[in-house]
Amino acid sequence: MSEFVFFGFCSLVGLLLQSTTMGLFMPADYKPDLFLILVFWAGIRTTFINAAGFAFAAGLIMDLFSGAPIGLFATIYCIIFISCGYLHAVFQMDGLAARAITVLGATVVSGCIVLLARRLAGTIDLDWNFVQWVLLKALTTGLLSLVAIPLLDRLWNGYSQFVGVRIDG
Amino acid sequence: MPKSVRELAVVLILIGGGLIILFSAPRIRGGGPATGIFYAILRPFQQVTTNLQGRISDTWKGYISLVGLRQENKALKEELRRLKGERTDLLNAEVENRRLKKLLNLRTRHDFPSLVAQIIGEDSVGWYRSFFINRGSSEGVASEMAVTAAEGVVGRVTKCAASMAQVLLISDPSLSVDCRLIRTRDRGVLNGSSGGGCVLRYLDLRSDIKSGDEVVTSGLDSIFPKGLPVGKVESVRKGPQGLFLEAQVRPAVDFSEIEEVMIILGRPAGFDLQPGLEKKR
Repeated sequence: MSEFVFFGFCSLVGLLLQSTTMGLFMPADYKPDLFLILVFWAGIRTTFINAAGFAFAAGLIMDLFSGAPIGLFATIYCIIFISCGYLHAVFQMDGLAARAITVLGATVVSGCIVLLARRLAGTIDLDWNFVQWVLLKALTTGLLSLVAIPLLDRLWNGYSQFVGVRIDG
Repeated sequence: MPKSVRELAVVLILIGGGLIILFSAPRIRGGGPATGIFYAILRPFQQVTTNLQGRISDTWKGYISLVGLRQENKALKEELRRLKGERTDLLNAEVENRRLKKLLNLRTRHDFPSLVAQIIGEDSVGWYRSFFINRGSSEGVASEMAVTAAEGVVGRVTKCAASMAQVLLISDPSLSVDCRLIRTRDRGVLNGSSGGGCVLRYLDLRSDIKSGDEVVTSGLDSIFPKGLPVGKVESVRKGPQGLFLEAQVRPAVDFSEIEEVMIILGRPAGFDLQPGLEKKR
């Protein structure tokens, strides 16, 4: 339960940053996906069931606060969560660089699914601009994860000591 | 049941749930009770963050402009008396501004009832081009309503809660607007393009469209009133199959600059023609 308080707080801060302040630093199209980093981090830090539930809930929140149809990001984040969990189990991604590269890859997958969904809905033409869009967004998300993941680790450690939650990672 | 199978089953159920929600959602998105609750929770935070961000930005800009200006301190003191007088004028102007904003709520340059709204947040993910405004269904805002600014068309309302709504921009590929060129009177459908601007599609091959031509709404899509400025043609090319012309259009509104928008509260049908009349022609 106390884990969800931490996730809820991080989600609120992340949502506020993404919907207000982040646009000051870079074009809205290329701003990093903080929630994806959060979902990835939750996957390697907490129990499987808790992280899966969080991934689904985070996706639903993203659906509400973006132009996406409800359910799209809930599905995407669950797929990314299970894929990253599998990669972590196989390759033991303990280094920060490896994790950042995984986040970068996950953003590419997320972008491709979003664009595919929009293409199936018949609203866009896939061209070089979209490739550029996905790659730049993945790059910004991957770079931010280099800062965000250690920050989340520190916050989590502090929070764990404060409320007495077991540290898994 | 083994733990790994159980965990996999949970994730598959969640993915299945997401897909069920995704494909069972109605075509016209209005937002349910969950949307309303989430929007109601987040709105005050977004409003406070936006205001705080503006203040910090102003303070920072003020600090930067003052660096290196100490030598002008004496001159500034001499100007202080004059500035005090101007301050009084500014206070008067602020009061006047508030009054005018209230008036703007009641009467606009259009004949349609409209409402001024402040932008309080932008699309959270960035894969879509949208933003959030501080007006909702409690003030008469509903899905599919047109949103404009002083310069021209901004977008339309997609999701709506009691005190907050989401506006999809015309630069998003999902939004289509029926448009007309002022000079040639040719009609086309405007979509957002991946490059950031807009594309006017399905123009007649014989059209005399040129760079610099102004694009306005035709009023035939039952969402946007007729004659609202949309943008200017930047370049013209043939469409993918060579059956139509396509024009790259630069929107009249700079979406990164606007802070307030106007929602047209009219019914989303019949601005220009009776619904269905165009089909009968």
